[in-house]
Amino acid sequence: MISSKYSMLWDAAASKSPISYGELDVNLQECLTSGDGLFDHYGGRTPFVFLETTGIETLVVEKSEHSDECVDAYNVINCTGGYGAGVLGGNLNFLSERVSAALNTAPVMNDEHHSIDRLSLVKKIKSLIGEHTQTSASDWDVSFTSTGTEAVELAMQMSLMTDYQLGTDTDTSGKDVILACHGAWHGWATGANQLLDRKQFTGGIPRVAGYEVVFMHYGELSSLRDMFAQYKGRIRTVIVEGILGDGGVIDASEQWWSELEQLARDESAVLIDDEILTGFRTGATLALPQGRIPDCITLGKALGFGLFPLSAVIWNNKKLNLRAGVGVRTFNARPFQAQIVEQALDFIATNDLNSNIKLIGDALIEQLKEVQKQFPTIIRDVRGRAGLVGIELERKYARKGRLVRDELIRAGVLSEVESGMMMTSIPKEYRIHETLRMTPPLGMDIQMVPRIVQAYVDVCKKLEGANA
Amino acid sequence: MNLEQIEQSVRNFLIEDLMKDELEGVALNAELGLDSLDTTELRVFVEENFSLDPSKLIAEKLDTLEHIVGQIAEHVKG
Ligand SMILES: Cc1ncc(COP(=O)(O)O)c(C=O)c1O
Repeated sequence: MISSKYSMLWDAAASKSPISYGELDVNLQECLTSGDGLFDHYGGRTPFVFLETTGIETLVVEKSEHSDECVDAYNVINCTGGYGAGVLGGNLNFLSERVSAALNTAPVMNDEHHSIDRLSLVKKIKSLIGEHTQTSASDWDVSFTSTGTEAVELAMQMSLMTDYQLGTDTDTSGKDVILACHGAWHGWATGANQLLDRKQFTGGIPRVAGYEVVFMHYGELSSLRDMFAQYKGRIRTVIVEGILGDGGVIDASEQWWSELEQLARDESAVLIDDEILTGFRTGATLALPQGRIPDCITLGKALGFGLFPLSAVIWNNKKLNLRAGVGVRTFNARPFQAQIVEQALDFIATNDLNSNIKLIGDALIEQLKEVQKQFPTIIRDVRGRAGLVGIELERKYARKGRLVRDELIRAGVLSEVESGMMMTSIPKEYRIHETLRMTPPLGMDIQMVPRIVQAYVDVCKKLEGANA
Repeated sequence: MNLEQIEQSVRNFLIEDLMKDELEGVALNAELGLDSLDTTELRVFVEENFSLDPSKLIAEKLDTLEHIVGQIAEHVKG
């Protein structure tokens, strides 16, 4: 921290004293005044500029709201890893030797050819999936993609193409329904978009002809049974998240998963478990209960450790297959990526970070529930599992998650906002307000928990004061 | 459905669905300050509750209760 070129700003953050705008370098001034130039996808980006990280702490600055001449600096605990991707936070020093060696020696090649680095990674992933689902590693096939969206696209395409006979140009399944979940998020591409039920995302994007996508309430047994009864004989594919993420961090029971698996099997439907957000997050390889066996699993985000986009589709090779030529792409886990990902996965196992993140998650959830009791007009619920924690906001802030998120940054914690399920098309009893999401790094020190909780208390007090 | 009923139903939507407590008892001609997400929900609401094609609603006229109610009434009776 001392040797940083931003030591003046780190000091300002520690002493909570503003710094003069004029003293900053011109690029930083430009960022503070007019942003980094990237298109605003949000209808309003934040005023914050992120400068550098040491360990889990990130230096963040914004123009002071009191004076144009001043800048405020904050030392922020990063509990997001950037949409949940940086699963090891800034704890990546252990990779430096490997990265520098791989930069010089890893072959730059496509996947028509073979690579020992890829072999190791593929074996590791198959064995992790085999262990989690209590099946044989050899039951599974793996292909790598780049983004989560791409993995979902490939999984969906595979499920739709498996019964398609190229010779006769016919589909032998005779099925035309895809079952997805209200409030789910599966990515931004025209295929993944079919699986969403929010007008603000789907309006203007055409629906795929020949298929009907229907929605159930995630984790609800009655909704699950009703949908399978109503569409009996027509359901081709079912896609569910390991934990419903953007819909508000909603977990499902073991019974729900076991009935889902059974119903999908009886219906001969393909069950896709989208673990892009939840994979390697919840103290285990997957959020899916151990021993449950989906037909296809997607991984993403954490698989690239926040360093590069890497995702994967893993499918049961007795049920699904890919026609030759389908799914070829420029990037399918380059040896460089494979070396780094394998070493990072080993790091999680060697240091038992899964046990660590369970302790962190339990402590955060328990202590934040106390904060909820103290501020019931601000926090509606606290829930989640291990490294995926949701704080649902109460009515007054139900659509003001971004405001609360910004105050939390000023108080020293970075969280993200999940949309919840506020759509008018959803019955009131199922609606979920905007929910703050924390995905702290697996190796976080438990000592950080009180600081995080205190930031939530400080923000709640400030909001309550503002309303008094 | 008469004007009063439409107005009441939109008021309920603003408070119950959009949770805009600050709009409780808002005057007919006051700016509602709805953002694009709010108006998307408003369009879904109008479609579902008044069986009205939401593309018929003029975007600039979703600014006050009076304008919204007026637009709905025009299409419902027509
Ligand atoms: C469950 C789930 N599936 C798919 C995606 C899409 O991933 P990406 O943004 O990398 O395309 C996301 C991203 O938020 C996700 O949470």
